Amino acid sequence: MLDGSALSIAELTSHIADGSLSARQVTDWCLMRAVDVNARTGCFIGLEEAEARLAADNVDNGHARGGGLEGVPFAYKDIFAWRGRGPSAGVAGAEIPLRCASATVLDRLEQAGSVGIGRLNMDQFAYAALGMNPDFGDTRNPWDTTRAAGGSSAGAAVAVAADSVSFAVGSDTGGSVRIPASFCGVVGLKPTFGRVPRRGSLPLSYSQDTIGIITRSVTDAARVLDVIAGHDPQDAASLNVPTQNYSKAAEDAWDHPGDQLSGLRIGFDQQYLDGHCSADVRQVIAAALGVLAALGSGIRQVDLAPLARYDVGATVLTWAEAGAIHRKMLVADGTGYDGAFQARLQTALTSRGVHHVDALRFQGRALKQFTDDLMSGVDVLVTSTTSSTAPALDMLHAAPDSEVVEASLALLRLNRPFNYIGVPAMTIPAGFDAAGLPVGLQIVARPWQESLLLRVGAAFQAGTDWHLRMPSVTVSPSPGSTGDEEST
Amino acid sequence: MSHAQAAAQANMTWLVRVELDAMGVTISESRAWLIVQQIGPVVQEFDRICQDLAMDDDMFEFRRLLAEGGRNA
Repeated sequence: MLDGSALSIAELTSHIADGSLSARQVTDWCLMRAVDVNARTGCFIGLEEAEARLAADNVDNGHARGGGLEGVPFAYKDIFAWRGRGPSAGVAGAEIPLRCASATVLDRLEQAGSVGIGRLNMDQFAYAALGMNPDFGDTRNPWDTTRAAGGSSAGAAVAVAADSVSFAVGSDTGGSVRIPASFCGVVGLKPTFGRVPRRGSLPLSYSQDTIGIITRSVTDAARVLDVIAGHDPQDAASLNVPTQNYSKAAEDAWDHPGDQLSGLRIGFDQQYLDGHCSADVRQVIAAALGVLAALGSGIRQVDLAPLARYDVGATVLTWAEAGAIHRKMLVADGTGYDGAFQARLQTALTSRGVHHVDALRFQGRALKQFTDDLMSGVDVLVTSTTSSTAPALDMLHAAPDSEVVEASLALLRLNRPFNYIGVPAMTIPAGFDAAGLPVGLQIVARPWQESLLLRVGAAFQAGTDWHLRMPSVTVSPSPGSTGDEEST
Repeated sequence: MSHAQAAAQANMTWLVRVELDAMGVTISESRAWLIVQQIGPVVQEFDRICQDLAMDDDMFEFRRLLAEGGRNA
């Protein structure tokens, strides 16, 4: 039997279409694999075995053809409502009441024939960046299970990196897709604010929340974006901007990387990188720039110092909005919140209305400055996704709260500015540090230029093999199991 | 820290406790002091950044710019 999960989405849908694999075979394999991976990493909160097998059988019976993701297994951060059930948001026994009974994104994936196999672990309420959950346990990095996975979409990155699903969906308010994707050596795409509907997902910051995608390859991310991008009139943040053929953009770049990148102007700021990142990370980013240059891109110096101001704006905006979102529940049942989360909310609740309005006012100024000045003369920016590679969990647990907060802030600083100004950003695996931990290259474009991001990323992956390396936790169980394991 | 700065911090700490208490969230004085230490530098920096804002820098401009970018994409 073919190992369905290790195939690209294009290969998988092709095999299912020609009958050399059934959706049920793939689903059973992934469910079995998910149990194994979860035992070692804690990436799943719960598997949905019966629903997954039913969805797979619908594909095999021809009831879900033509959607583009027929039989493709995925999992989702437990932040979405689906089929009438609210998300747990990483809190054991919780079901957060949302007005929307089923997230637009998950509905679109289901209509496209994709098979959801389970809900993924996360930082509680998506309000942290290390993947440490007091109820469901730490999500462990598949490259070294003594290390953090990053967060808040921790389980999403691990489930993909460890080969239990083809893709996962999560949310990114300050780097929550890109940070764990970088730590786990996979692709993490945060589209433009308003590109992908977030209706039916638990908010953290209404003005910055973005639904993102985690995959092993850029071409896979493009296939998923083809399905989930597009206006939803029921979503207040969704903008009615025409989508593009993302998979064609990525696959053209994969097939002809030099053609796609010839003449591309890439903005890079060495001083910014030096000021934020460890030596190992800087070395990997320098090598990645060399790959892009060899493919025909020109590297131009830009000044990314203004990003620090956007980070401050993002901080103030998130305090105000997260405080408003959680205030009622904190007051009603503060004991239901983890202590560290309560502390973050207490800080958020001191936010002032005038600062919230000013953060919204500065958001427009910042976006204009970014497009007119920072991006002047360049097509995309590149920098590191994280300041360092994945930290050791033991160290984080032993450290004072202030050091853990600082570790999170260091991760957010390189990501959150791009949420504040709403632009698309993507991390792709670009190499490893001396300890064998992945390093992510972050690519950023102007609003709505996801196709360009995907072209650059796919061309990079055509010229490298970082995305093909698999973590040690992915030692495969024997295929052909019936997959009757109990849900986690 | 000067006497005036220490007094300002003490006032801020008291204010944070009162504000949170009014919302139904009770915290200790030491916790309030930590919050003041955390938010103080951020708010000061943010106020400095916002000095450049004009009165007609509209809070909806961000959405307008995104929509305009979408039409030109």
